[in-house]
Amino acid sequence: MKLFRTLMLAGLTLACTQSVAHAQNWYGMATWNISFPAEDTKKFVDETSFRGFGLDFRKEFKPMTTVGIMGSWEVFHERRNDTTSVGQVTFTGSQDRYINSFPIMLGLHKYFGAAGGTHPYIGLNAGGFVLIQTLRIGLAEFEDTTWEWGIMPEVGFIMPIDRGSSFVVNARYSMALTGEDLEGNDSQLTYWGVRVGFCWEQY
Amino acid sequence: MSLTRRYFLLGAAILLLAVALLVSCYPGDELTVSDTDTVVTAFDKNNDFATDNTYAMPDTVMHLVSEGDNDDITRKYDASILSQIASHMDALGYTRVVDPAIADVHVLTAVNVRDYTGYAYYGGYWGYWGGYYGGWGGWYPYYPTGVTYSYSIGTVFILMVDPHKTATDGKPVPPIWIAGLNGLADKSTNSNRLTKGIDQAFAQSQYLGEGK
Repeated sequence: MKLFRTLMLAGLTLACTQSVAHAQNWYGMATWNISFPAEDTKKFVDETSFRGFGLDFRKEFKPMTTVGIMGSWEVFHERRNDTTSVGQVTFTGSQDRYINSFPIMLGLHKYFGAAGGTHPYIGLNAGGFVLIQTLRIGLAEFEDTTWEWGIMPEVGFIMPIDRGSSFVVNARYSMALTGEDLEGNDSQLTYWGVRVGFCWEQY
Repeated sequence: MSLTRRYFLLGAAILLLAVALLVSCYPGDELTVSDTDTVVTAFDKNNDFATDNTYAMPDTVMHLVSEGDNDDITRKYDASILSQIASHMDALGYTRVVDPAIADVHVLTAVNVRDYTGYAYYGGYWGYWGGYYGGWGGWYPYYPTGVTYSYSIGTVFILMVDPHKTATDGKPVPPIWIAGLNGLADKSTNSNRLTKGIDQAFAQSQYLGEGK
């Protein structure tokens, strides 16, 4: 896992260095993010999140290829009336479960399609998540804030609407490579995301 | 202004709106009084409940108040609380005895209500007119930027103690089972919420009836 992270960071650093030499277009993206919890995350919060937005900045360092940075915020919430046992202690009550996920990643993206038309693209983002897990039971609250390394593969379409501006829609799979739940057991943040928004190109 | 720039500003405005909505509509902050109710139970894993068959229980609920404070906790529900606990103990297979000296365990019930007062601050100085306005010869009124609120949190404790255990280091003997029913105290619905809470405490503690 450490080797994978090192290779990813080395690749992105190389891409950034090359972008200085080429100095071509940059792109900005603002998106509304809909997220679907999966695997470990689904066990803690099993509700689709419609509270999310994201911002991407990408720089073309060679034709149809960009390197960039992205940040977003997704809020997951579920209220359960549930009984939970931890060791010899059992709780029952209204539980509000939250995950606030703030991915901050570097990304490498490759675009396809003819100039002026729709551009499908694929990409890989790598970095990490500021992860805040919160459990409220009645009047008590348990919260844990951590940084988790992770990756986010992505596919999407950029559809031009005018010179320099486009609609964007993409799907991402957010996957933390590290992490624990509030009880200290291994648990990785994982969720699917669909993002729709605008993209601006600056020449 | 170029079209690209206009779109960019539009996007920025949408993004700011998204942030505002995300923050203002943060989910789960709306709670009813009963949503605050929590039932917590815990047991001593080293105790063998199968060997405990009899229990003694005082005919009173202890009211936990600080020394010198008035005991203004109502006794309206004491009898029904004790009766409900006795019913659950009987259903689990325990036999109630009058003499505490021969009982395997003692069951004690206590209640505590604590009052809290807070101050919610609106923020900013909107509506503040506190300065001296000489031309009019007086002070304009000060509009407060917050509101004071108060609430009470009530807790019912049910403790099961093994009277045959002795303290070794001068500390009180810990209970072998404890239940805590905690929530906002609300006079209008307390009875129903207490009943449900006690039922839940025993429902999630079926190990108390093991071997009977």
